Amino acid sequence: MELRLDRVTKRYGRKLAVDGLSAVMGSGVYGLLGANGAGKTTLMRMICDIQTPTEGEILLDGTPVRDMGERYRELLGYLPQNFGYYPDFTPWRFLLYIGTLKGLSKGAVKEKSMALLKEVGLWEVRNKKIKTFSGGMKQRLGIAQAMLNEPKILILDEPTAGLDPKERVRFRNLISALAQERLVLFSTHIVSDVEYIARKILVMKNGQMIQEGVSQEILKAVEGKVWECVVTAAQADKMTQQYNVGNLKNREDGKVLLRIIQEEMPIEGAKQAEPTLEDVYLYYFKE
Amino acid sequence: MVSLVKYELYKIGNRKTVWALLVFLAFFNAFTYWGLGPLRESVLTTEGEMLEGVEAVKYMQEFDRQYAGALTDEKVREVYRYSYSPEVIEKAEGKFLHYSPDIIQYLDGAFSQGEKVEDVFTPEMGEIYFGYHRGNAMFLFYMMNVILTVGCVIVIAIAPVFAEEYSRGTDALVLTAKYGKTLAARSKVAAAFLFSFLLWMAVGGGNVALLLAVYGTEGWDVSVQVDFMKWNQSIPYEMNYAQLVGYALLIWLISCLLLTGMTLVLSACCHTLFSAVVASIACYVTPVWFSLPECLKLVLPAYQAQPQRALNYGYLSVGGQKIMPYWMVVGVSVTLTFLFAVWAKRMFRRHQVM
Repeated sequence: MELRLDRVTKRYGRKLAVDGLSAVMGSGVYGLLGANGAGKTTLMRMICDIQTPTEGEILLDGTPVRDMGERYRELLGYLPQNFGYYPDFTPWRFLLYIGTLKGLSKGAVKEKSMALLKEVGLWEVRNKKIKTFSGGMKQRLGIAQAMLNEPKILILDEPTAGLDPKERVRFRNLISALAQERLVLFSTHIVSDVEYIARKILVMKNGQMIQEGVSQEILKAVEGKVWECVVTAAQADKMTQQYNVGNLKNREDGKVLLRIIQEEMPIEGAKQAEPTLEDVYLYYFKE
Repeated sequence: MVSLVKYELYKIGNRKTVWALLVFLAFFNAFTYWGLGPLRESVLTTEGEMLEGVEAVKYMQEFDRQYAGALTDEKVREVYRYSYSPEVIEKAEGKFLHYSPDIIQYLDGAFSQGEKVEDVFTPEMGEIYFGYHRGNAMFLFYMMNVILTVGCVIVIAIAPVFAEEYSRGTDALVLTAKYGKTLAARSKVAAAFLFSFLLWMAVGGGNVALLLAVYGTEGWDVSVQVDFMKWNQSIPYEMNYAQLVGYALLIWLISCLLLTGMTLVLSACCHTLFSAVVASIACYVTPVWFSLPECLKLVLPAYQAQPQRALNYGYLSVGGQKIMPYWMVVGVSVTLTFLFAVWAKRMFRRHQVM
């Protein structure tokens, strides 16, 4: 399976949300990293064929997805950034409805709904109205509906938003298990999610893909640009304004350990540190 | 698709607003029936006795039966001979005409100058049959208000069909599902029309049942031009009350479905639920405030509550053939309804999720 994005562009009037983006994705987990307004959601919507590209094409195994119609949507599972639901539906009814929309038979939809509700920990509350759920519970329901049809292409827009750390770990494990024969593309601000489960990372900025590759390749962008230095509190205040500070830690001796992402050594005595994905994020999105 | 239609129907009917409106409609219908129906009937007998309610209905039916059948000049003179005595008129303090049986009220309007039957009716109207018709005439009158209210219920119930998906963000889920752009869109449209049809069945059927329970089928063979309320007098075709009530029920059904189609289009193109409801109500109600060509009014749901509008048109001659405008209205409305349904479905399918 190959999903190809060929110079995909989306323009809203004068604003360019996605700018000539090209990429090729196969089976595996892809993490889409970018700040707010980078164009991640727009890109995902175009991949899901719920927004039409202004220019360019999205192809699945050589066929434009907009020509595939039901055949494409049958393979698709999508969790939008702002997960919409029907407040007076119960999660059980909701999954039965979505499952029917996805073309599952009556028996299959019941079986799958039951399994997924148990998997995401919502079985006990299956007959309570969704409007009574917490944000995390709604998000879990969103994940469940995305997986109802066992999609070959799973698009998740900020799937871990609203989940507590335990739920996030659970979700990561779920996605990792699914990714064997699937293409999973998820967007996030949480760098650790990408770090732990993404096979390939795509970094987006201002509608363009500025970096793509496995973790080690991405980290090369900031190799030799991550520094650690110990300074006084007063210096720390000043340097925070001046430099791209990734981390600030108060030490027991009253001094401050700063982690700075900077081309040149920021101050005398600063030591180079092993870069992390978070440093990459801050390097590209320091504004 | 049946399952999807059931879910969509559930989504339409599961709103508290819709239930509140249905309860209001039931009360409004009951109130209108109480205000204009048989319970409010009253008649002054020729002996000077005042009867009310169902008793009054029975008296009037019996009185009119004496003169039922083809209306002739002799019959007209006969009725005048049996009009109220001066003592009864004096006792009624001038209100005797208001409380008199239908034939006396009707004749007082149509034959007050001593006209002959052939002066009042055109040959196209055929032979004029007289009889008790008050029940049917009142039914058509009060149902006009009920149908207008049904229209408001339809607009508010149907406006969320597509617009609410946009507002809630569920459009992204629906449109990415296998059947989202195909069967789902069709199911929404089907469920909307089914809802309107069921509502019409309940309201129309319920009121027709009341009509039959109180008045029976008496007056169904009476010519519509013989109308004590003067609403149907100018209908230029040969038509009786059975046909008029039948046509009214048909045109009310069509207006419900046409309004459903219009609302679906607005629902599909408005991005929020609020704008869909406002736009739909505006399109339904505001035409009555404007001076529009009569032919345009015939295909507007708010005006279709009065079926007499279409019936008052004379024959149209097209290529030597006589065409009845009131059937053209049905044809045009059905065609428009179909086009609206297709258009709404298409707009939803092509909707760009924002």
